[in-house]
Amino acid sequence: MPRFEVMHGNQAIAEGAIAAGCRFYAGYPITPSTEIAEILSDRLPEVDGVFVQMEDEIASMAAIIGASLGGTKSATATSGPGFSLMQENLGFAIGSEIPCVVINVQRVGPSTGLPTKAAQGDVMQARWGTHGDHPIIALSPGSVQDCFDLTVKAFEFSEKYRTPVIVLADAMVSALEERIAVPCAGELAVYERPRPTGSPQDYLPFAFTRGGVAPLAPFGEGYRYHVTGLLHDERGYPTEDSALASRWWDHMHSKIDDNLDDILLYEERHLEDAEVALIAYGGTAMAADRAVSLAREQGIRLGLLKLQTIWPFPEARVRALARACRRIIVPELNFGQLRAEIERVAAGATLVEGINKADGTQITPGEILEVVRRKTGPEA
Amino acid sequence: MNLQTSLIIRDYLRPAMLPTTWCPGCGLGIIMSSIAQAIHYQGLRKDDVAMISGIGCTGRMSGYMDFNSIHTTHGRAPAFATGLKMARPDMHVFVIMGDGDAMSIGGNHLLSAMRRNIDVTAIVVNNSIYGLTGGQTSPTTPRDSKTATARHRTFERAMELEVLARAAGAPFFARATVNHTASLTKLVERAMQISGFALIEVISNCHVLYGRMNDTPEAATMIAQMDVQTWRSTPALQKRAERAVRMTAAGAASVEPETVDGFEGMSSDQRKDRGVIIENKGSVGFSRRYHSLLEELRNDRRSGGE
Repeated sequence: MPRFEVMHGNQAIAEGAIAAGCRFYAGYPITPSTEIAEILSDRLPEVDGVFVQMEDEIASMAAIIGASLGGTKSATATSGPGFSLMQENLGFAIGSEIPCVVINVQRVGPSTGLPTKAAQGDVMQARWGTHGDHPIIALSPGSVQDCFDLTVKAFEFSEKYRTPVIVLADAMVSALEERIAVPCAGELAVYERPRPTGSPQDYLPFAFTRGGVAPLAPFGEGYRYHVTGLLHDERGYPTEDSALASRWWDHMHSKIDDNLDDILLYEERHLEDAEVALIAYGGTAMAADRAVSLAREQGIRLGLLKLQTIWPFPEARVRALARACRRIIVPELNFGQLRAEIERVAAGATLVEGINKADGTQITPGEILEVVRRKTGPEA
Repeated sequence: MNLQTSLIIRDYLRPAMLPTTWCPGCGLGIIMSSIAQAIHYQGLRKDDVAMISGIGCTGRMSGYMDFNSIHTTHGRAPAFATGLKMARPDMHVFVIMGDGDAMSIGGNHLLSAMRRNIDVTAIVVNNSIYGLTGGQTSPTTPRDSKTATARHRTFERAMELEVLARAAGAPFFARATVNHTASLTKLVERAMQISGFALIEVISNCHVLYGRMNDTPEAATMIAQMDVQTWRSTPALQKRAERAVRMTAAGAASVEPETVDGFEGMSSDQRKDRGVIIENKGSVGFSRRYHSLLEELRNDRRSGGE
């Protein structure tokens, strides 16, 4: 039986990390994510884990990669300005396939912006923030329960696919208090990093497997290998061979693309007969969910696709939805970052429009309902 | 005592990664050899050693050596090393940086790692120039030098690593050159005894870029200059060591050893130690401190459970 506890989103993220086996955290204080660091500085030593407050977010990202290579599940948490600084070493972790979890509690940007106010403006930064093409996984919690559950999932995906996973939270869910179910010890299936079993001589730490990854040996256990940000061969040695580079890309893309059934997480509500569908994620999905209830009370056939995985983008599901309903409305606390992706996938099959702002206030169920009524009413 | 080069290559390097990208006459090979020898003489298992480097000519060193190695991003090696050391407190972690890597783009990480006193042995190879990118001004380029980005001359003061180490409280700082290999090996071994951030600055030569632009295009000439300049930083001459040793701009080659007084009469023991500028043997590193907290908590939990 899980136990039920009231906690806020940042606490749920911290507890989710501990439950998932995170035993190393490095970070730098930044609103509105700081509670995650404060809680973990207390909790990690209690479970034999390490907390280090680093000199900045560049170093925080570097430190979690180092710890992960030591065989420890590792995480950092930040907000927009810090996430910008992490992009360099985030790219290193992507390219050298080092598992780690990066939590970004979004606030209004650009720059220092509105530090205490929620936004969802880092959707595209989570996708393309570091230079060069690259696969990435980003999960967006839409409730305090999601903060716990998706943090656990983030560690699972990062270990399974040897990639950084971004938990793209926002100041709506992170500051919200809710009653959530916390699994008791032994109830949670924790994904442990697979270890190589063959001889060190034959070990290929960066094998160009299609659709999968080589087990990552912890440093110090007999499998000595080299890790570099340079494009490398299967041993990790730098190479400029274009044939190898092309095989590397195939591996990098396919390890995500061939596993979408596992990676893509979303929830659906009343989509079976919906004329109008909302697509929402993060804190905005809570307002969208309420708007669906209000609409149904009024006889409006409104449904919700709540995305938990936003990268990779759930193209097939969104495409099917675009063909099935007359209109898609996308409420976001930005000016249409995910909507552009939905429009691309819908490719004209349905009308796609947004409800957008980034002024520090939240999108309310009433605002969403008003737009829906306007679009579905007699004059629409 | 020197290990044969063939033995170092066989036992401590990765043959598949060779030859190196370094120019003929570069001091980096000498430094790599000294580090391998120090590890050999200290009797460490290769599995227990990590070599973490940044970007630049020096950054390539970690890949050539057969340890657990990370060729990280520019300037960030101390931060990667911090994470690894905390996760694997029993490993001996080396951090290898160049002068631009350590003192320009990585300045904050270096300062913070020293202040935090994370338990690593750090080597900063100072050749006064950005080598890999083609001879641009570095934070240790002496004033009035010519570089690829200062075709007329440089105007900035060269940064002194020793002063940074003092300010940040590093428990060990030594300076060596590629002209004193036996001494360098000894210094690395001595740094490895320290619990905490032990730093060695190694003066090296980039005759190909710095030298060619500043009238010392021969490796031998540049290395000969070091013989003169290093004496200024011996313990015996510490009072004179107010300024960091550096490759001076044009004209330094004309300095003759005889013009530097005080070296005569130094015993061989003193010579071995020369270069040690800060040494706090009582230092307790961050990792050791943190892991003793974890042990206390483990003991508390055990006794609480009884």
